[in-house]
Amino acid sequence: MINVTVKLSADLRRYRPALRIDESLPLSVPEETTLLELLSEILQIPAHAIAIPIVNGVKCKLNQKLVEGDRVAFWPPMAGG
Amino acid sequence: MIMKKLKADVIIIGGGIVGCTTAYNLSQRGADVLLIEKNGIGSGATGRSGGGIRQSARVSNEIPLAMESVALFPGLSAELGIDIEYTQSGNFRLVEMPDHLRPMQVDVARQQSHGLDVRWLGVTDVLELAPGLRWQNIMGASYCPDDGHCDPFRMVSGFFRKAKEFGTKVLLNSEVQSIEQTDDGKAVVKTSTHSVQAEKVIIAAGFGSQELCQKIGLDLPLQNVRYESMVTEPLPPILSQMFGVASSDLFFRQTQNGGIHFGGGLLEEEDEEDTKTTRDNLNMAVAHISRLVKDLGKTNLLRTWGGLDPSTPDGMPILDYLNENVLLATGFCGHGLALGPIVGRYLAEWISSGQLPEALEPFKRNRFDGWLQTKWTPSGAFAAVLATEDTQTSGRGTVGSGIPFMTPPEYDDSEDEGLHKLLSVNPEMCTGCRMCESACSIEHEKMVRQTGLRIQVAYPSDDFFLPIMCIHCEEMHCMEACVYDALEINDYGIVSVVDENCTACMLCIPACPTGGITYVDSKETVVKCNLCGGNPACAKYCPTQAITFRPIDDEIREKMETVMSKHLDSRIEK
Amino acid sequence: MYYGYTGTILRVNLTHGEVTKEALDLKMAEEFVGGRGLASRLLCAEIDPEIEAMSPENPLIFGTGPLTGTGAPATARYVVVCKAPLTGTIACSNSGGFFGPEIKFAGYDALIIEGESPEPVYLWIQDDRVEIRSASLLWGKTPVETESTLQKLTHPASKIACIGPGGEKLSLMAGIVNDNYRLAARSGVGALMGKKKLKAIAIRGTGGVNLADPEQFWKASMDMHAKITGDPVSFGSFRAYGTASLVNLINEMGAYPTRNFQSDTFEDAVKTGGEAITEDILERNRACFACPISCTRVTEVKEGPYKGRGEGPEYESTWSLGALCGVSNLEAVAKANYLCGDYGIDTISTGATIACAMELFETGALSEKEIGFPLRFGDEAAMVRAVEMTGKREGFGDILADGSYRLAERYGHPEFFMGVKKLEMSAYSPRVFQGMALQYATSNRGACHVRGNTVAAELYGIPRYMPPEVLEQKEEMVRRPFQNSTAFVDSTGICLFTKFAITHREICALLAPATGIDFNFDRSIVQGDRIWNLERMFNLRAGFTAADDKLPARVSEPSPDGPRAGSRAILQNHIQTYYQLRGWDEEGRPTRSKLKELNLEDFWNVCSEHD
Repeated sequence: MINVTVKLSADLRRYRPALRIDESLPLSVPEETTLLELLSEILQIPAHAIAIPIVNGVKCKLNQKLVEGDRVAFWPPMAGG
Repeated sequence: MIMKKLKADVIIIGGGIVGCTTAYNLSQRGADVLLIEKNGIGSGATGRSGGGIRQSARVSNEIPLAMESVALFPGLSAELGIDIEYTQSGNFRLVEMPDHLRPMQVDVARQQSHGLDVRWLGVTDVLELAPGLRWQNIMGASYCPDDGHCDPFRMVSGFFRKAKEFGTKVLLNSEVQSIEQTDDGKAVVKTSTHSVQAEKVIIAAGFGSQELCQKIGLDLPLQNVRYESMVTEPLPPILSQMFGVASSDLFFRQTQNGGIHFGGGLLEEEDEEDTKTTRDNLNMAVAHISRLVKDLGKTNLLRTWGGLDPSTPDGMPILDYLNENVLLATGFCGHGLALGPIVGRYLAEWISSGQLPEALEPFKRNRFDGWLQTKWTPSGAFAAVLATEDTQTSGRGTVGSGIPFMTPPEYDDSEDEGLHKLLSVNPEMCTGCRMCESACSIEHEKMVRQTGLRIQVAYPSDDFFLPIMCIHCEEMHCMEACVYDALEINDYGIVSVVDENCTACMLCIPACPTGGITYVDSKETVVKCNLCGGNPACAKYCPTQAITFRPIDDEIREKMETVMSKHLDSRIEK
Repeated sequence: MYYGYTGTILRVNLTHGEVTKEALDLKMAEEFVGGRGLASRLLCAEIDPEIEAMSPENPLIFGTGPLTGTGAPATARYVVVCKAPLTGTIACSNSGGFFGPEIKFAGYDALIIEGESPEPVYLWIQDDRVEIRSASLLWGKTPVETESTLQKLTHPASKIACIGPGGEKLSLMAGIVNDNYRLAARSGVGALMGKKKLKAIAIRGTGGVNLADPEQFWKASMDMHAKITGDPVSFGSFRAYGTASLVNLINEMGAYPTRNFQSDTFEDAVKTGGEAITEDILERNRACFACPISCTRVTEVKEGPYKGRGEGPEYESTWSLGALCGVSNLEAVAKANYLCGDYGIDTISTGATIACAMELFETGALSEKEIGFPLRFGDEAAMVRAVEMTGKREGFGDILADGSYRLAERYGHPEFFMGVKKLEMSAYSPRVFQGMALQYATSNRGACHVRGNTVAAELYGIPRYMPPEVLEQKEEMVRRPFQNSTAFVDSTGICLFTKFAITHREICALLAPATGIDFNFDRSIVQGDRIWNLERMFNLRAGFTAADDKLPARVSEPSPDGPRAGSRAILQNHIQTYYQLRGWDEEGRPTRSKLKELNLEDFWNVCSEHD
């Protein structure tokens, strides 16, 4: 098992309402878990709700595998000015 | 035989853990409670249960409630004045097969993501905490340190005694025969000897709940399942935690007097009120536990028993009103003991305050609306633990509420066939965008303008806006005021303007309380809403469904009239 | 008969008190579309860009697009164009609300305000009746007060665009406020209005916008409506969290400029993020004219020293008054935002100027005596006080009011000015987003993010994902799908926030039946290019050269911390590629063949000798 942290932002927080705004979830997940597996099996958030997955500050694809210490953050589709 | 007539504030049907905790909490709040039990206290699932008190291995939407309940257990013995033999030494879910390794690890992560302290342990760590296990068949386990087990008899009788102390009355060995409603809205519950009137009735009757629901004409997705268990002679202490396995429903623990209490194996649907045990199931359980626990070879079994508990399609109980008097609290799928204390507390809160406690939102019965009754097996205990999409609560009524103002309510018009539709305005959803004005103007004049409009947006303040127009009232003030026959009514009761007769006298304008008639300079007539002939443009275009086209009743129409007439002066145009 | 357009341009001369009406040149409209394009073209016909921005010859042009006021989704937009008082480049500030549509309803495509009034006045336009009235009662009032007073003096339904005390006092950061809280904010357009002593324009229109093919127009409108309301960004996230939900995202990426761009992560970002705003101060959403997105946030700080109410703060404002100044107190940021609205000054430039002053103070170049109080990064009370001084032009605020370029120069540290061509950069670090680096350097009004918001591609993946650190092919991306496309959209009257759900095709599908003119995708690309090049020529004539297309030195240094530590803006190698793709020479001047291609005259002979 490897240790990672996960942050849910904007309206994704409705999937974990007990989570405070900046709180990261510490999780231990099996090695080689992909972001998609993290989303669908562990967090049980539909993949289409996510537009911007960020790992350690870098936007990445959902098939990326997690490694020890990864800081994951998910955002729904959004934009700004 | 003459029926004895009784009165109570609340009748609770079922003297199991849920019935008793609820009786305790309600009577502690001063309610007059009558508990009616078919046999004896705890004679159903409660007394036959495995005794596990766990937060882990639950579907996601149950986790917050379970965590709240388990937090109550350390103080329970003191509160109830009886030692319930609560041991908080943790809960293991053992993995024996390689195929279950990763799914269990994933499931551990799932539960962690809900804030539960649950971990994955390799076999070495497992053995260190539970040296009584046989390591050869174990690959690892999920471990929740704050879970545990207790004695269910002592627990339920503790709650029962406390409930009586606070004034709960009880009828034992009494089977409920009917649940009816009086003319003045109270409930009447009848047994063979008693007729009891009350404001509220709680059905907490475990395996008997389905039948009771049918007595009031309702069919709930409850399926009774038979759980078979057994206990050995007392042994020296070898196991302190509660145990389950990934591969089946086997559970085991060692009670305080030393017997190994275990069961599961195969769960079966049971439609009869039959608590038998079967040779196959018992053999399976014995073989399984022997693979996992040391030194059981020569141990004697003292007795076996079966128990029935209703399961639901999503592995979570139903805690919801069935009608204005009757509240259902059942369907705990074989793991309701741990939830008893918190459920009793919240049900009492719900009944006293009249408000649904937020924590009980996920357990409403409308989550099963439209549920496809596909074949599902309760013995997929591991599948339930893994909580796939099917076993999660559907999007309806999920944990957490919507974003304020953002989610327009879904309007289901499937039942509107043949009903008379009108425009309904919900000011809270209006963002002041005035698309309704543009849509109306284009529909009638083929161009966009904002004078001479049939619908106009008012801005009474910087955070409250609403569209104002003709509400097609029954009084038809405008028609009454017109002396030139320029307003006529069609077959649907909609008043519209007869252009050629209109002399622009404008008597109709002040007659309308909601500003539904306006004068258009270029036309030299008045105009008013005519519902666009049945497909109103404003409702079609409103992006937030602040305006919808639907059947509305008098109450809504009155509300609309009140609010619109109040804000006539804040319209953009007068 | 005109369709989409009204066919009339209103000209008001404040020096002589004269009002004239001119016909819209439809050929010009076809070439430059409307809004930004048309107003810029009109400006080029009015002045020589070498003039002083604050001279009476510099006109204020309020321009609407052909779609403004037509009731198609999000068609509220209008622009204010002039030579910019803050920067000397061409200015084009954009705003929503309800003022723009009212101009069309009154019967005008554009208002040209020229000259200067000797006394404070306001314009009262009712359809074809125009009055120039004394504004002595209104001078000194905030925009909210001005609007409510004017609606009593003119008509309860009139729409108002005005300046606050900031514009009256000629702050170079002043904008023009309409519908109480919306701003055409940047470049100091409010200062020009104040110089003209024009306090406000009140306008009421009882007419409408004619459409060439109403059936087809509404069909296309319905399609667009469906696309927008089905889009998770336009309809989902903008409505739910506004733009400020970007705070945590951009910070997570290590691209959130902090403390005057000294670093790119702010440790307390979450305290001022969109989630915090929604939870703590949001009252409700509201919409501009005909807009289903309704991204405006009405907010209130109910009690405490930062009590106040207004709209916003949006992403940029939250950043400039927050992280850029090292401030993490949401209520203080909201209050500063409300104050900027009350004074009518641009939040981005204001926050950036205060941040620059903070750095000057912390390095000792500015003393407490001069400011009147210590002004350190992170001191929210000092930041709010500084905003107030700036809006009133009181004490040291008199210096702050002219922006950070002049501030940094004055105190001997020009390297503390974080902008391009005197306009301050905004909330995306050019060290991380290489596309934005190029955009800031080359944007025609100075370091502006809106005119080519490449973050859409470098983060959200619209139109396609291009990693932020890469610069290859970015030059073309910046040029066409961003800069040129935005120039087109800004000229139509529709709001840029729809662009996450729709493309030029849907917009042209509205323009054609609205106007009866053949607007189509291919032409729209050329129109956008043409408008961009016109603006470039204006700047060239105003004296800007390739040397001005550069970023502050600081952002070429590595980012000190966060997940992107070590990143820096790598513009140098890529400017030439950009010029080439633009059809410009190595000095950044359009070539003859480029002009020919765009059917553009060589205004003022500024173009390249090269073909």
